[in-house]
Amino acid sequence: MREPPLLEVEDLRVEFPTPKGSVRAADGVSFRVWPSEIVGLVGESGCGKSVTTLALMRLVRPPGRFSGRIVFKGRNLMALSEHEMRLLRGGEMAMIFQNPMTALDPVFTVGDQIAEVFQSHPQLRTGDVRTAAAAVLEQVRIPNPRAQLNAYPHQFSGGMAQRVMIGMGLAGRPSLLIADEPTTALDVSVQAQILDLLRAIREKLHTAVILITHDLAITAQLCDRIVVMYAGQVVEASPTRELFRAPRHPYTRGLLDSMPRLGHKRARLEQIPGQPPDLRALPVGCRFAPRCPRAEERCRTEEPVLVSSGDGRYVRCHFPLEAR
Amino acid sequence: MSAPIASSQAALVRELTGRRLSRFRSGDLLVLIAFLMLAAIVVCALIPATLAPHPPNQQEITMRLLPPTWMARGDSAHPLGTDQLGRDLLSRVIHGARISLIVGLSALIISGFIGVAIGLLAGYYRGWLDDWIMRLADVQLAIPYVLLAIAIIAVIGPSNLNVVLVLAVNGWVVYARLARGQALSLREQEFIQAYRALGARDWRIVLQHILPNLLSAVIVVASLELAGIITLESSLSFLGLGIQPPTVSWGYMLADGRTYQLGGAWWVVTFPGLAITATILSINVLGDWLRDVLDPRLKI
Repeated sequence: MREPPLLEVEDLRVEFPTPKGSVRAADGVSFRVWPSEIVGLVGESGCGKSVTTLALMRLVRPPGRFSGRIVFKGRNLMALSEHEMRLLRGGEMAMIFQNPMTALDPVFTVGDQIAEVFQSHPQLRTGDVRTAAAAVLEQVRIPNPRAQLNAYPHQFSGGMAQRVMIGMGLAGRPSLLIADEPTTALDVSVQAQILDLLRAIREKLHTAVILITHDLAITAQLCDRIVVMYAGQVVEASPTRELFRAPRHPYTRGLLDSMPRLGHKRARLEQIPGQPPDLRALPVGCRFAPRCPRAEERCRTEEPVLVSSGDGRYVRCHFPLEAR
Repeated sequence: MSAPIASSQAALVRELTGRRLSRFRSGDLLVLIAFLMLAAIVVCALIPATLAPHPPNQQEITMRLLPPTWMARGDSAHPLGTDQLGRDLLSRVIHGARISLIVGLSALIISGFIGVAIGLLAGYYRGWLDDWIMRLADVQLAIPYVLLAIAIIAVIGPSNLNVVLVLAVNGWVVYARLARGQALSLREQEFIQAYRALGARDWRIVLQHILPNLLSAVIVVASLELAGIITLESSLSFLGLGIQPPTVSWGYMLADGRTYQLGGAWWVVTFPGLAITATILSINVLGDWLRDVLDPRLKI
């Protein structure tokens, strides 16, 4: 129906051995990203969203192990050599991180750090490095870019530093930008600017974005599709509008109900009772069952699988919610 | 000096070093004194024969143990007095600067280089390499350094070069542990992760991002270590395992003169001791200052 996906992840597993048994941080994660699409990866802390994206870039460090199928632009990333993978990172695939103030090396000027991207990827460089670096800053709307090249990261505000990070990520003209909670460390007004910037980048450069966040409000503003993760698995994937209008997984419903909304009078916000399971000792059956208001006997014995319900929606539940 | 010249000089310094030496310009007296003192010592090390009034090993038994010139029996030909063989102390202190600085600095550089390199690898790559290196360091720390030095010198024989080697072997552990600890914490920093995600090579991350970030700590430790090295060199000389006469070193002078000090000839050990103190103190002050200047986070 559409062009082929830019990124296809299938059955991705990431494991970290610990003395008390292996932690399965991502367990059979599958999803797709189409070109110039913004996909939100949502879930609470520790549900495996960050680890999933690190595995996409093959940046999980030993003793962590990962397996699965990752196809990016028709190439199987698991089969690439470390050298080919390195060229991909910062080239066609880039990643930015949560805390911009610690994601830049404090002892180098911003200009030097941008120049370094060009040194890692010489093919990107056209002409003078400083001109190229200034162009990077200009692209992310930093005023007076040439003068700012000589500044050190600590002289920048959080929002400026995050722009620099985004600029560095974009220097390689990536077709996929992974943004790991890019606005969590920033204050609200700056958040809006950064989100705006991400949207503009998609419009102008047709870069697909995977936006990792635990803030549903952000995904509602920005994302075309949302992938909800729980305890290392994808529990629901759906176009944004449909997800907000009619969540199908009880967990997604719980997330939405715990979010304040304008125009809805409610005395108290709902909360999801209990806590996410220990990834070393997962319950039999559905992982959400112990906290699920709709759980039945079958949920505690048989593990549900991710099924498509057509219309681009997927849900991992024995008893999915119907449209409200 | 008129203001325009001063500011153009500041600009020159900025141009040369790429940094603003603002602390220096503001007239930090302590740093200035330390700098001048160290400069004087370096000059002594460079041209001792020109500065010293006598050859360092010229003996005059009739003039033995003369006190400094301002004391009752003092002789104006020997401003700082003479030692038990009638050798001029001022000349020996001046000549001693060369060997003490050469031995101290080369041992410092060798041990620092080896230690930082090993520590970086261990801290960044972890795994079996880390285990082996750190156990080796623990084993070495468990052996008293003098014993280790005696054992090594007994095998390779005493010579000035071997003293440097022994001092370097003794010193690498400190740097390795420091560099490993820093590398361990730096590798988990987000900016290292970010550079990996931007496709930087491993060696580039280690050399370009981990090394500069731990260098300021290394500089400070090195400036403190120099004191230890010079002291260690004098202990080795005291045991006859260090600098071999007729070469003059401050450590050797200390060791050699210690018995006469009890007889009232305090000057025989005091002046080389002062020279060691002055060197170490000025290096420490400069090291501290250097760390502040090199760290962009402390710059306004």
